[in-house]
Amino acid sequence: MREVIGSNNRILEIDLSTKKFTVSEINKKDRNMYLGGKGMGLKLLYDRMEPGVDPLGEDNMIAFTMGVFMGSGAPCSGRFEAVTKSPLTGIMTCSSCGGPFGMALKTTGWDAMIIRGKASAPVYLAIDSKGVQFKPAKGIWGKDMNQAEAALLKEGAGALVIGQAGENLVRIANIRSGHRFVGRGGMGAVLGSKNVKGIVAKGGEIKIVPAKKEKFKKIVRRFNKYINNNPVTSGTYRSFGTNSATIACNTTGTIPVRNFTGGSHGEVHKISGETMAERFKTKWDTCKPCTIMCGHKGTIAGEERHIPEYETVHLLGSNLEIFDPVAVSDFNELCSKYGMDTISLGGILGWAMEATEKGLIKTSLKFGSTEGVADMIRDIALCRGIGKDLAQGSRLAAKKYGGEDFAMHVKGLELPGYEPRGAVGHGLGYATANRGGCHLSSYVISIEILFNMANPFTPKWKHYMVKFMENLFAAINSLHICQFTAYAVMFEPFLVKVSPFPLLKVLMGNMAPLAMNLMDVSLFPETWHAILGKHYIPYLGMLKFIKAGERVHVLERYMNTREGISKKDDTLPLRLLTEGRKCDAKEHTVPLEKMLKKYYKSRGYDENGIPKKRLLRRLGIKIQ
Amino acid sequence: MANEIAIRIKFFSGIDRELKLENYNHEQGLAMNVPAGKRLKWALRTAGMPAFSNHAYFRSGERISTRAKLRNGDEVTCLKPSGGG
Ligand code: SF4
Repeated sequence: MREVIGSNNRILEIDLSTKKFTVSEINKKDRNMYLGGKGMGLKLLYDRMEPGVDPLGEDNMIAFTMGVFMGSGAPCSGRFEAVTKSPLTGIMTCSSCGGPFGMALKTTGWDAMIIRGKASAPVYLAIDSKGVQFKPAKGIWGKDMNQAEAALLKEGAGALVIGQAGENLVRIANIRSGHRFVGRGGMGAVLGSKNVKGIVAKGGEIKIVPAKKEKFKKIVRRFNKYINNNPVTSGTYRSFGTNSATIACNTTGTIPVRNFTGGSHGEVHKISGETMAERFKTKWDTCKPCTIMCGHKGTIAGEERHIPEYETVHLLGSNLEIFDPVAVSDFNELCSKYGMDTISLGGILGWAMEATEKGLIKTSLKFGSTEGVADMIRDIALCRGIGKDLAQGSRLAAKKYGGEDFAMHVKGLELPGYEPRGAVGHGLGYATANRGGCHLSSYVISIEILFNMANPFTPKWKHYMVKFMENLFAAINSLHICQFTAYAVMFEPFLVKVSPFPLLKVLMGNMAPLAMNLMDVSLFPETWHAILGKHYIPYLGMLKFIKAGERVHVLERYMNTREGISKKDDTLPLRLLTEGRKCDAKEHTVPLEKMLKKYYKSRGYDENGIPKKRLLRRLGIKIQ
Repeated sequence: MANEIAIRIKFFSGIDRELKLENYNHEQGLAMNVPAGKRLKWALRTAGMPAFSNHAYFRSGERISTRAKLRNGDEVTCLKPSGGG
């Protein structure tokens, strides 16, 4: 097997319309500036795709990009990114996935793959180190994800597949690899629109080795020590998965209840991570490699199933006032069969229940009842009856039937499982996230609630926290390593360890820039350097690393502004700006306007939210 | 007794298992009578908790420290830090 240092730098560019492919290279400058993963995916499409293309048309492209960390043996590095223009939002969407396809593609010798055009009939793509074969998908078109993936895995080490929802161009359709998903923004529909049922990569053709082996070994030991010392990454994630946050969020009124009217609920312990672990005898079922191990499986309804993640539990559970973990798992299983994003689906069902209650539409859906939910999920996936309208997403459904005030989305992407009136910085993060209603872009609720480092109700310094975390996560997702490693890395360094917690909290509340910069994240660029050495790029220091994250975030924003995005879109559903939660003793809303103004200023955007030329030039982004 | 107050502590994140509480139920939590004026720290020690500095404590949705004075009828939730995602 051929050994490659860090990265092969080869891009496979596939044109489905002509059934041809070309091979190009990631150039040194782009690697230096955009790192890989998310950053590289955006840059590749920025250079190739015009604004204004129809997301479900031939001219849309979808890129799958690996990071430098993948294959090196760095902890939690088995992740890859998919980037395209979303049919749900009409703007760029990026999604990180921990399924085996990424490792298979990278060890086949490709660091990136770009797909454009449209096949004349359904195909699947078989990738090896020489290129791609276009194979007829007759036998698997119309099949669910379980069947399609099993068929493709006969030909390689990792596969990506869409389900019937992707084939039917459902705007919340996702793509699956193992038990992991390229989840948000309807990327499954993009593959469906191109007549691609799946992609299989042979894998095992090259071996990734770090340039500085001894240094790398030491760094991995330090990384694992950080992860194993941290109570979140070594404790609650391992024992209860992402759903370990349920009780903390319920206690602080930050779970979605009844289409984001509640905030907390007395029955939530029935769907908590603790309850599921005990009831379903959970075991680990993770991305590979992984040291944190947040993914779990267990025995539910007599069969082995992946345990629903926090987001699924709350969007398909508490948001619908359903507290039966078996029912939530049943809905989750349907989604992983037909191929739909559970977050968006839960948001759409929440809207549909409220719209039914208010007489805007006629369905059998009712808050607190599982009746009709599974049938509606099938109807959405197969575009039957009113399911056909719901398959367009809550924004378009509300436009048709009314109820836009309670369609809980930002820029067309349904909100995840955190109620922002109990964590206002997290609310700002929803409004500014590039792909729409996304929790992972800045995840400030971790600072406000989960680690209790800032008052969750005050807007003070939240613009800075959102900006800092957006830059950090954009950089991490470009390396590419699991975002959850950030908790371990941020809280382990000496200065944070020796600063008494109340002092850190006071600093965070009054001098956030100082407090956040005490959180030394230099372990990320150090790992990068140990993998690449001087082999490819000059030394990546911590400031350069954060600046690369800023560049990635701003490039995505700039691409979106070319699609018409501006301040008018950086908002939240009316409910969150004007009404309190049911659990509020004192009414809380999100003071968005105040925070947004400061955020734009600190980002270097104009008052309409458009990146200024000066900012683009500073970051080396070519103005188009 | 007049100088005792009734409180309830709800343990999650597996803390109840570590404390080996018999017939523990997450909905009910652990009911305790404690002398008036005692702090949360005291109640946690009495419940058998050996170390608690890393945990998170909430009362009526607000985060509190282990030095918080307990009040009659308090319901305190006790958790390990968690990540979500
Ligand atoms: S921590 Fe969870 S999401 Fe991250 S790599 Fe491991 S299993 Fe995947």
